Amino acid sequence: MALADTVLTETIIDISDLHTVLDTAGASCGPFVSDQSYCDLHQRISAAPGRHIGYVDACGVEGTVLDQLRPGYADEKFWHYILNDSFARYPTHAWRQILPLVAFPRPRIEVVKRNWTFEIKPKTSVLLYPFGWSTRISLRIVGRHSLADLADVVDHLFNGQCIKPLGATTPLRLVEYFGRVADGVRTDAFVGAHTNDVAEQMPLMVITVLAKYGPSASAMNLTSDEQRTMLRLVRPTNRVSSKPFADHIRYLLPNDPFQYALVHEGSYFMWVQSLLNPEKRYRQLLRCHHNNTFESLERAKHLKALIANSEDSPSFGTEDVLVQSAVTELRKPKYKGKLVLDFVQTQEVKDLLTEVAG
Amino acid sequence: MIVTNKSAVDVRNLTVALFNSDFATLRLPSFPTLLPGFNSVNATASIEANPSAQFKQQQVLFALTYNWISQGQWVTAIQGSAVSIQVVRPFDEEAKGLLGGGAALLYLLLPVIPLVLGYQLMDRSLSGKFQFPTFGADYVVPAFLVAVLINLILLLAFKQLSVDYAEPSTMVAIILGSFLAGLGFAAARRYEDVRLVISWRYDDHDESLTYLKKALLRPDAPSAYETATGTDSEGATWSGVLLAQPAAGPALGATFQVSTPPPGNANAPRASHAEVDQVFTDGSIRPGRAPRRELVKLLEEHKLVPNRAVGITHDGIAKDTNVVTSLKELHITGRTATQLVRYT
Repeated sequence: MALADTVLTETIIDISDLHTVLDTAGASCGPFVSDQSYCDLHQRISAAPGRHIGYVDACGVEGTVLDQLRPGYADEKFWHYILNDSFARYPTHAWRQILPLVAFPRPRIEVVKRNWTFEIKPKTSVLLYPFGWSTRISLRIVGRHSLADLADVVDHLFNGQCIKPLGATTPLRLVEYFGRVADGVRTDAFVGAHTNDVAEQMPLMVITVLAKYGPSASAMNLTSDEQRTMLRLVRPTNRVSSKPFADHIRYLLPNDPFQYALVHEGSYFMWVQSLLNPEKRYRQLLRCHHNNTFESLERAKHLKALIANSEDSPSFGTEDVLVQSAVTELRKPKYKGKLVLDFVQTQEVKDLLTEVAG
Repeated sequence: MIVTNKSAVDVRNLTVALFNSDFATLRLPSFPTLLPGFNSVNATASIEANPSAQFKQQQVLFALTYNWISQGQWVTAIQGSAVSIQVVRPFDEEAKGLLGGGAALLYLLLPVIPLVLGYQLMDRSLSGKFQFPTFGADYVVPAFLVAVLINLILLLAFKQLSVDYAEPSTMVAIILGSFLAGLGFAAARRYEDVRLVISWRYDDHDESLTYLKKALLRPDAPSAYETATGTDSEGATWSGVLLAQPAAGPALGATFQVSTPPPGNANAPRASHAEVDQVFTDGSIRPGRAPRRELVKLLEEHKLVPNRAVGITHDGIAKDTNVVTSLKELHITGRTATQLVRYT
């Protein structure tokens, strides 16, 4: 395949930096520390006009980075897989069913580009659970770009100074930005600088091509150079991968070279040919597919981290209701996306669940 | 035939006639109007035995009629001349070549054996399972019957034809003609196969468009395709779209994606949505030959661009060709449905 002939016109990149808090005692924002207060907060937010309230209204003080609070779920199929009840009753299940909140961090950011002609539109948010959070950056790339350009963007995100908070003079590296937001979240939602939290080693990243011209990137007919380019999408390093290219491929449909995810550690690049159609309904379905994949993986990783840290956590021990809910959900995921099923079938997760059961 | 005028008198209007109902005249000679005294003339007469002629020594009488002047008067005279001719059965001479007259049988079969071999050669070549032709014992009886019939037909249709196998050129012509007739008969019987071999045979060097054209538009092209995996006689593993190579075993091909060229050059041809919709539904080619013909047309007009989707693999390594035909006894171990071409 001539990968160079593939012209992408819209791509979305979602990145999530996950943290698990081991001890929430003394959290600055009361609603995050108990079942009742957490559900009440969800109830308040759901009842508020526009289904959002200011952070100050929830916690009584101005947040250092957190601003508006919204439910981290919507009246959509994905969440109905997670919780099969009337959407109006979701707030009452918020604690036991581990429903998150979403806050919007301040300030907004822009992405410092190299000399690319396409646009990169960023959005940030923070997903809040009683036991942790994840800082999300969603980048929508609009305009003609190639897969090699996309790989350069990923490289720039992970290795360059690419994030510039509005008003700041110098751009930050991604890890620095995540660090700054994490400090703010610790202060706003947990125990400040004393928060005992564990971060995932690698952020979760899901990339999906939403629109393109020309040939599609077949997983089964790439030259070694093209394979290297593709791998850079999920592995932004110059080091040669020890695994063969085929081991990075997860077929979303059996042996379909145009419906696959390229996977490396916590990074996923998805090509979903059946939905890569300019028609509006396909476009919406593709966007949903991306969102569901990202959210399900992010949720599964949060739940896995909660279980993995439960032995050392004073707040969320192995008998805690949240940990038990997490175990139940990971044992039998309710949203059966291919990639999340793959994740829960990894030996690491299986061993963890066996250990908890024992 | 030599005619000598033994007198001093000139002889005029000399003619010859055959007087024997068991023989038919094929050609009688014409003599000069004047045969002067003490002169001779030679000529050739051709006759053949009628079916009524007995197989024995025959006396054939030729009557020579001529005019001469006797005492100032023209007179007509007739003189007879008998010729001894041995009438023998066909292959009578050849039959003496082998003990028991076996040679006659072989000569009888001579036109049939190349015919059968030629037929087998073509038939087996077109079936894709080539073996060197054989003339087995089970062929003897039908071949003998065919031989008798052929010789009978030749005898009835070409009575004047005298086949002399002792003549090398005749023998070569008979063998070659018979062989070609066998080839032709098999080719006619398997006309579709011959057409496939000539026009639709895959080649390892086929370009994308040629390959797709052959795979999609060949007579009796399958409506659905399968990816086959298997091993060849050397134990190497293969994977690719299973194709039928005319007059050979299976061939393997690549699957393709076709897409519209990126916009940019306004003058460059691009397939419209309507044109694409005529050919594809949800990325898959519509059933029937018309969408396939339309697809090939769009590819020929460069309104759609083909790119390989899944190549052929040999021991896990992708081959850089669209089709592989030189497979040695591929043993297929798995098949899965696949799309030969899809719109992306």
